Amino acid sequence: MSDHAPAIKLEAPPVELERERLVSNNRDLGEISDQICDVMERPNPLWWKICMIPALLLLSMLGAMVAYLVTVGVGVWGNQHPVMWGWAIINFVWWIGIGHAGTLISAILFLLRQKWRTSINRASEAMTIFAVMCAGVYPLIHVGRIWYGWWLFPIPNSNDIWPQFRSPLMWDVFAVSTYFTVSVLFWYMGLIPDLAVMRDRCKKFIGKFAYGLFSLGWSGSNRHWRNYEKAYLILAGLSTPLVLSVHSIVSLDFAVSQLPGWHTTIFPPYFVAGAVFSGFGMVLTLLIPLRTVCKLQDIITVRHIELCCKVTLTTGCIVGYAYFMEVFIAWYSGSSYEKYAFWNRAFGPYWWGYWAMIGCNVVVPQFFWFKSVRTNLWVVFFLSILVNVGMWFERFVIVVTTLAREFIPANWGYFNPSPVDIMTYLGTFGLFFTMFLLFLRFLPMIAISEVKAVVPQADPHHPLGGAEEGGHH
Amino acid sequence: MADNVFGVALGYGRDHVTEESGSGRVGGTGRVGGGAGFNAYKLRGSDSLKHAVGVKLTRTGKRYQLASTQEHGTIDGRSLIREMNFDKFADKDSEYADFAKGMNMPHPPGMEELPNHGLAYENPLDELRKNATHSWGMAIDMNTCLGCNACALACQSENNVPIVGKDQVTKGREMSWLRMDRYFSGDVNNPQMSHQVMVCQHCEAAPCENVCPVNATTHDDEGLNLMIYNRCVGTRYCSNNCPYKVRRFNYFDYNRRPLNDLYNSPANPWNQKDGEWELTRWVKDRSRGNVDDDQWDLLALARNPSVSVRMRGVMEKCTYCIQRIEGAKIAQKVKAGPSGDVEVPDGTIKTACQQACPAEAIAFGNIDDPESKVSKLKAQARDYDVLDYLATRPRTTYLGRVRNPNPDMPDYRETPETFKEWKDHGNHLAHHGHGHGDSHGHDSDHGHDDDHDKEHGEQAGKGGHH
Repeated sequence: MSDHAPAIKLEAPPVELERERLVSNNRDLGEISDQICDVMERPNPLWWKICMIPALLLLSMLGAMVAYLVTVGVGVWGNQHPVMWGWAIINFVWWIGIGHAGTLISAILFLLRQKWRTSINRASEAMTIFAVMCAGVYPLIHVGRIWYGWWLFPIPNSNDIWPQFRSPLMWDVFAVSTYFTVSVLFWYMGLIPDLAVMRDRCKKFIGKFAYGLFSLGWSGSNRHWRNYEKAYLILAGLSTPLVLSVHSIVSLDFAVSQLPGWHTTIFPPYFVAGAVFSGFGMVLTLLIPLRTVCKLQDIITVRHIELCCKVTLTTGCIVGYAYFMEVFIAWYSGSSYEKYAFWNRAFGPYWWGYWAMIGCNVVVPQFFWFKSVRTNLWVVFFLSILVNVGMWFERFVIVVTTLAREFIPANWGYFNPSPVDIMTYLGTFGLFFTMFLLFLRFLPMIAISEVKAVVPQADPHHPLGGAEEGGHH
Repeated sequence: MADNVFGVALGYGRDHVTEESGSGRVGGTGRVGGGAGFNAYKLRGSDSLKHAVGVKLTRTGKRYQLASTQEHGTIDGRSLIREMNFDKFADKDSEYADFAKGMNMPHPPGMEELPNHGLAYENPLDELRKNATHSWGMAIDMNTCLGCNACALACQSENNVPIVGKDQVTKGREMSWLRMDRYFSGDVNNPQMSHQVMVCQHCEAAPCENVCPVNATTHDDEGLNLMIYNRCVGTRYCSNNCPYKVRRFNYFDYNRRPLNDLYNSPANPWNQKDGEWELTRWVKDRSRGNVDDDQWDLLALARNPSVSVRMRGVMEKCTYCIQRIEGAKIAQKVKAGPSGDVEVPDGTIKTACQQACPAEAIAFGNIDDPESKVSKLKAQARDYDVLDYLATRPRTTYLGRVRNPNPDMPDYRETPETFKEWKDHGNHLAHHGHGHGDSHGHDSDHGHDDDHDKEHGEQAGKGGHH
């Protein structure tokens, strides 16, 4: 260059001050694209086929079970007189809880400038959308007369009867459908630059056409990026309250009723914490095997896993506090009905459900205090499954244990699930994994453009930045 | 029953299969009898007509599920049933004279002074009630009730309540709108039994109504908690939120499908009946379902034509026999003509349960008319709301039971066991001294009240010994 000003050479910060990189092994930008796209571009791997077959079988089972339910009646489930809600509502709440991590990661962590989210947000958002789809199956099919389910929507009709806006089930309809819509929009928005990458790399006509269609003419111009960043920020702002509102509203299905054990004001925050807890549990369950089979260890690093463990630990502690506070308030209320409800949870006929819940949701996350546990992926994988087992039991305890024994002892009962209950639940796993496996093959499971933005090469002032060491392509 | 005696009910077993029907094996006594119970006559030969002596019971280790509608026998110290001994109740100065309302859960401080029966909010129904011709209500006198279950049977036949069969009863899906709750309290080997008719309470502040997302259960101005079958989609939330658990759900098409064929899908291609696919039959005649022709005619004749038959997937419950109410109102309107006197005279309407009750324990009528039988019963000191603390303001109230045990008998108790159990749970009688909803003169502080109670308790205790 010219001779009047010597180039300023920035010294790299001392090693002990350097944070662990979000993408390890100094992968350059091109390699990142290649690594992520490779999952879709290489021939169908064996593990994918092995996973897809049971997923499709389970999905068909879901279809069969729903057809049987619709043609025969709700009686094919185990629901009975005092326990009018059973597995359908448990599984609805369970799936929708899982569907919380994605939007939390993509929206709230985005607003909080947590850059580590970039490696895991796309897959978590996909997980969210598919989990909400699984959850959405249940409110539709659990009603007695499915063909009139549309009465829950405010659609003008000749009867001139509106839905009843005082009912929490009504609020559910709006909360869940809004959450699903905004989550899908947010996910799709974030996909546009990556769809353009796929369009540019794709060799087959049909792929070119499809990716081209959905990338909406993205050219990567400065103007496009500016609009994109604004829109992304706005959608993140819109999604953030939804993360909190959906499960708050779902919790009101219980809190607004007057049953001892349901009628508690702690439910909204406690449900949201539980949802994030189970959502991160599911993220861990999915990503730990995926990073290995998809060879993405450079991008989804052990540090990411560790951070997810820390979120799980935090929310697990909140959930544990809520369990304790529920029991305390039951005692403090002085109401014998309240006291009995909580005594019954822990020592009544469903005691095993309560202690499974306490064990999995309060005790299990405490292991995440230890770095040796957080970095041992086999252990984390196992514990993350326990987290979701525990959260299933939490909903079981809330729904079944409460309804089985409340005000009038002569009318107490005991709920047993029917095989149809169990097979429908397994069937929703089929739906979830079919969708997720298709997602892995057809859409980039990591946000390519966002990951590139957090590597040092993207920063022109960083010693590794600029074109010198394989920065700009 | 004495120890080492075993009672067997004869005549209920039906194990003789004679007929093969399209929808499975049926018993010798027809469809209802198939596989029901056991033949106990094997134990009772011609040599021992009344008692089989020398029979030995041995444990087989096998389990057999009994179809029972009530599995829990203890009342858990709850004030659902309120009972008192006559000598205590008769002492007008004692706190026991007002035991029924005295067992209400005390209001939190300050709530009692609220103008609206201790409720924080006004009930919109109160405004409607001002213009209503009647306000329907029911009083059930537990003192005269024998627990004979005639009311339950009458209700079942009056209101086309489906019979669901043994399998569904074991799953807790019996459809009875009116049930008889029974509790055992006291010593396990020698308990005292109490029973209570439980039926929709037609709460003025009904918890079922505000949770229904489609407005399928609402109130009318005369205080009936209405169930609109046509509008119900079957979320079952109303039943969950009903503290009395008196709502019943049609888990299957009980009225249109044979009970031994409930789980068989009509869409199942192997589900053939008289060479016809059930789905085709259904499309041709959507009301008939899969019931045999002869049975269908019988079922159609057995139904009360004034009451809708409910399909699967809808909730149902006691209506206060609305068909009888409406019939009487129409007749009165016709009779009144231009005079405009449309108020149905007291005693015209009898609900099915009331009509069947041999002890006249159930009264139904207009509670706005102070001269009606139901109003007079409700005005008694023994009148109380079940689960009063929920402030549901039920239109059905109960009159506490007064026992009169003989002090010389071995089963004599100072107070009824339900009351003792309630007291043992840390409760004590509040001294109300005024009627329900009456907010006058309750200025005394709580400490004073407690002293008052204690004094009365001691007096009554002394009185009980003589």
